[in-house]
Amino acid sequence: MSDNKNDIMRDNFKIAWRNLWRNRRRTLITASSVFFAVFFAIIMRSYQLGTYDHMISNVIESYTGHLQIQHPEYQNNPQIDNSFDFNDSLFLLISNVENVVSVTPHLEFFALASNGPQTKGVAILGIDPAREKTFSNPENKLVRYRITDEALLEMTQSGTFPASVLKKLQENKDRSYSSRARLELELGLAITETEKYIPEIIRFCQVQNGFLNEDDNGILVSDRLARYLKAEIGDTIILMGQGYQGASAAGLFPVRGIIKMPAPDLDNRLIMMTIPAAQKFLDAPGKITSVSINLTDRSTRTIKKGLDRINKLMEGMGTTVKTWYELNPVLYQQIQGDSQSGMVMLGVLYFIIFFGIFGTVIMMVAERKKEFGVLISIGMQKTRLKRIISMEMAMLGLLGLAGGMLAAVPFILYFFYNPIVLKGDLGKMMEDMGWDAVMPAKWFGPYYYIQALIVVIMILLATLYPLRKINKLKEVEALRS
Amino acid sequence: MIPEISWKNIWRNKTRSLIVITAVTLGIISGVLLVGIMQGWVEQRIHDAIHNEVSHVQIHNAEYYDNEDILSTIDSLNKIISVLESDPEVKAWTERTKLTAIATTPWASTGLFIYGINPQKEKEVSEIYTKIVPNGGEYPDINKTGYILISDKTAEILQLKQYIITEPLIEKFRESRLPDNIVIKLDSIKGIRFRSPKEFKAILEKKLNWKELDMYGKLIMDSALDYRIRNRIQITLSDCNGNPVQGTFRLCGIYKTTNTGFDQASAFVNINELAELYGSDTPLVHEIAIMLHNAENIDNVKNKLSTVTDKNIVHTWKELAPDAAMMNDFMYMYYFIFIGIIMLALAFGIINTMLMAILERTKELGMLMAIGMNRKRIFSMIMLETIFLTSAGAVAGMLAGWVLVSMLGKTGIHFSSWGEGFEAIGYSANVYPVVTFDFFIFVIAMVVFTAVLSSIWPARKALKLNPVETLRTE
Repeated sequence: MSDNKNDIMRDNFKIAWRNLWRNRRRTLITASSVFFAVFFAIIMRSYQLGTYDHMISNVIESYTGHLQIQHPEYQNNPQIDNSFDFNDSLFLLISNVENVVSVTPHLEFFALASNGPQTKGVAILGIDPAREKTFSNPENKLVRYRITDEALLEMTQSGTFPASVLKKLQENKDRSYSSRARLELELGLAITETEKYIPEIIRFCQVQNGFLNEDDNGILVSDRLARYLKAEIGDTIILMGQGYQGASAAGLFPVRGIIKMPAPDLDNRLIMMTIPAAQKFLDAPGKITSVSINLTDRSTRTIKKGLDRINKLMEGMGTTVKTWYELNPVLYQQIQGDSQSGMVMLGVLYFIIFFGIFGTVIMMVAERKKEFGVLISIGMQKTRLKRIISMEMAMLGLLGLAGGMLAAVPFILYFFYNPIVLKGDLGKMMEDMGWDAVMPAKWFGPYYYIQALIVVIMILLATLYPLRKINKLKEVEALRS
Repeated sequence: MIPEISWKNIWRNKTRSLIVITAVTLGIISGVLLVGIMQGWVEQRIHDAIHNEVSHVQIHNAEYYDNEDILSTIDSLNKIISVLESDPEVKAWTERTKLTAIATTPWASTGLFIYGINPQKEKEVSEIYTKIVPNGGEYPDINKTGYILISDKTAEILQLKQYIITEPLIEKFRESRLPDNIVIKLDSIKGIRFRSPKEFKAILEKKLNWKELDMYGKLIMDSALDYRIRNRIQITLSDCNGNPVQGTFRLCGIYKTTNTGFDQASAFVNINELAELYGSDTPLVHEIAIMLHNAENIDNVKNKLSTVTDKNIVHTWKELAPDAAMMNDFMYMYYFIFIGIIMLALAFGIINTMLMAILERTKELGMLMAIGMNRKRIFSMIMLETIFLTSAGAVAGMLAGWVLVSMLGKTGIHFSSWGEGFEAIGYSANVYPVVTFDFFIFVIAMVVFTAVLSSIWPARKALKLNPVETLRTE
C-alpha cells in the first residue's frame, strides 16, 4: 500500500516535471523573474545591512558602547554633578560579567580652553589610556602627516614633484592626516602618481607627535582646535570651568599630542586627558560620568541579557544602564529609516514579480482548460490534478529561488572579505560625518533566508488560482472550449 | 493601419492583457510615488539649506574658516557692499557677526554660534523668522534691546522648555473632546513643572495607557509645552582682546527648522548689542549672506565677488551644504535606479505575455505572411503591440501616480517614528512629495525603451516562422 502511494507520488512528480517543460520558454522566463528578484533582494539587503553593521560598530563600538552605565540624570543633564564613583574592583566585577568584551570608563565635561588671546569652549574627555586602546583607540588618530607651508616649500624646491602633484598639495595646504590611506584619499592623485609620489610626500610631511602616559598630567588636543588656539606640542593650555558641586576649576595643561577626529564637529572642540588628571582638575576624586561596555555581539538578546546582569550588579549604586539605541536614537532612526525605505523598494519589486507569476498562471490555466477537462473526464481525481499543479508551481518557484540564492553566494563571500571602499566626494562626506567610507556585505543571516519565505508565500498565493479553477471546472464545458 | 491592428490585438485576450497592464500601472504608481517622496525630500532639504541655513552665496574672511577668530572680519567691506548694491542679480544681502559662545542658564549650558544680525535685512535673506514655533514668542526686533532668539533644540538643552498642566489647560481639555477619565488623570499632575520632554513623557506613560497615549499623547504634549520666554540667558564669549566677557540676554523667541544640527548651533541677537558686548564701536562683520534672483547665475556672482579681494573667500550653497548639493546631483541616478529596477521586473512579465501572444497566433501570422504582409510590417506590428500594452499601463500609472502625489503633496506624509533621526541630518519628518515634468518624460522614455527591448525576442520568434509550415499545423 505504501509502495503504491510512493508510486503515485513519483508519477505525480514526473508528470509535474514534464508539464513544466512543455513550455520551456515560459517556465524559464517566469523562473528567471523569481531569480532576478531573489538575487537583487539578497544583494541589496546584504549591502544595506552590512553597511549599517559597519556604521554601528564604527560609531557605537568605539564611541558609545553597546551599553553605558550613567548617573540616572546624566543623559538629560550632562553635568559633572551627575557623576558616580568608580574604582578598579568595580571594573573587575563588570569585566567578569558574561559576554562583556571591554569596559571603558570616561569622564566628560565642558570647559573654556585658552592659549594667549585665543579662548574657546571645549569638550573634555577623560580617558584611561590603556583601557581606551581597545575602545576608541585615540592613538590611531594622532596626526602623522601635515602639509605645512615649510613642507610645501621644500617639496617645491626639491624638484621631484610634477606641477600637477604640487597643485593638489597646494589645494590641501594645512590639512592634517592620521593615516597614509586618508592622505591618499584626500589628495586624490592618479593611481600611478600615488604609487610614485606618496612615499616622498610622506617623508616631507611627517610630523612628530606624542601620546598620554598612564598618569599623565598633559592633554591631547584635536587638530582644528589646536589650530584655533595656535597651540603646538609642548605649549601649555589654560583650562577653566566648573568643578564638582559648583567649585571653580582651573589648571595648566601641557599639550602632549594633536589628534585628528574624523567628524569636524568633534575636531573643532575636543581635548583628551587622563581620568586622574580630570578628577584632580574638577576636584571630583573617584568620580566618572560613564562606563562604556562592549559585548560579544549586538543582538537584542545579548544586549538584553547584558543589561539585566549589569543592572543587578550595579543595584543600589545610584546608576542606570542604557543601551546604545537609547543613547543614540538619532543613528538608530536613521538606520531604521534607510532600512525600511529599502524594504519598501523590495516590496514593490516582489509585488511586480508576483504579478508576472500570476499572469503566467492565468495563461497556463486558460491554455490547459481543455486538457484538464479531458483528464477529469477520463477519471483523474480532481485532488490528484490539484496536487500535480501545485507541484509544478512549487518547482517553478524553487527553480528561481535556488538559482537566486546560489548566485548571490559568491558576491556575498567576495564583498564580505573585500568590502567596497567609497572614494571621492561620497567617501569624504561619509568620513566627515564620522563614518568609515566602507561598504561591506553582510554575512548570511535571516535576511538571506527570508527571501525563501517571501517566494514560498508568493507561489502559494499564485497557486490558489488554478486550484480554484480546477475545483469549479465543469468537464463538459471545458471539453467544448 | 498597423497601429490599429496592434491595438486591436491587445484586446483579443482581455484578461491576459489586463494583467500586464495592471502590473505596469501598479509598478509605475509605486515608482512615481517613491521618486516623488525622494524628490520632495531633496527639494525640501535644498530649499531649507538655502533659505534657512546658508543662502545662495556667503562671503567670509579666508582665515575665518580655519580659526573662527573674532578679528578675521571681511576684508574690503565697503567695496564688497558697493558691488552687492550695484549688481542686479543680487536680490538681498545681509551682514552678520558670527562668534562662538557658551550659553548658560541656571540649569544647563551649551556651546553655540551667536549671530549678530540686522533683523530687517535678515528677513529678506533668511526664512528663520517664519519658523517661530507656536507659543514661541517672536523674532528679534531692531527697536527692542537685550533679546535673543534660540532654537527649540537649544531651549531643550538649556532646559527652557518645560511642561506644565495648568488649570486653564485642564478647562480647555474639558471643553475639547478629551475623554473625562484622561482629564481626571491629568488633573493629578496639575501644577507640576517638568523640565524636559523626557520627564513629561515618562509621567504621561505612567498615567495613561498606550492607547490613550497614541491618540492624545501628542496633543497633550503640545498643549502642555511652555517655553520660558523672557528668561535670562547668559552668553560668554571672547572679546576683541581675547578676554572672556559675559552678557545677559532675555529669550524673545524660539524657532525650529528641519535641521536640528543647524538649530542646536545657532542663536541670534541684534548686531549692535553684540558689538557692545565684545567692545567695539562698529559691529564686526564675519559673514555676508546673499540671496540671488536666479540661482542659475550663481557662478557669475561668485566670480564677481571673488575678484574684489583675495583675502576673502566666496562660497556657494553647493559648497556650504555639500550634502544637499550631492543629493541634488544624485537625484537622476535615483530616478534611473528606481525606475530601472521596476521596468526590469516588468520586462519578464511583458516578454512572457508577448511570447504567448505570438505562439498562439502562429497560424494567423503564417497566413498574414503568406498573403503578402512583409517582415517589416510583422515586426512593427508586434513591437507596436508591446509598446501599446506597456504604455497603456504606464499612462494609467503616471496619471494615478500624479494624482496621488499631488494629493499627498498637499497633505504631506509624516514619518514620525524616524523624525528625530531625519531632522538631525536636515531632512524634515514631513514629506511633501513632488514630481517634475522631467521625470514623466524620463518614465515615458524608459517605458518605450523597455517595451522595444522586450518585443525583440517575441518579434524575432514571429519572423522565424515558416509560413508554409505554420499553415499546415492544426
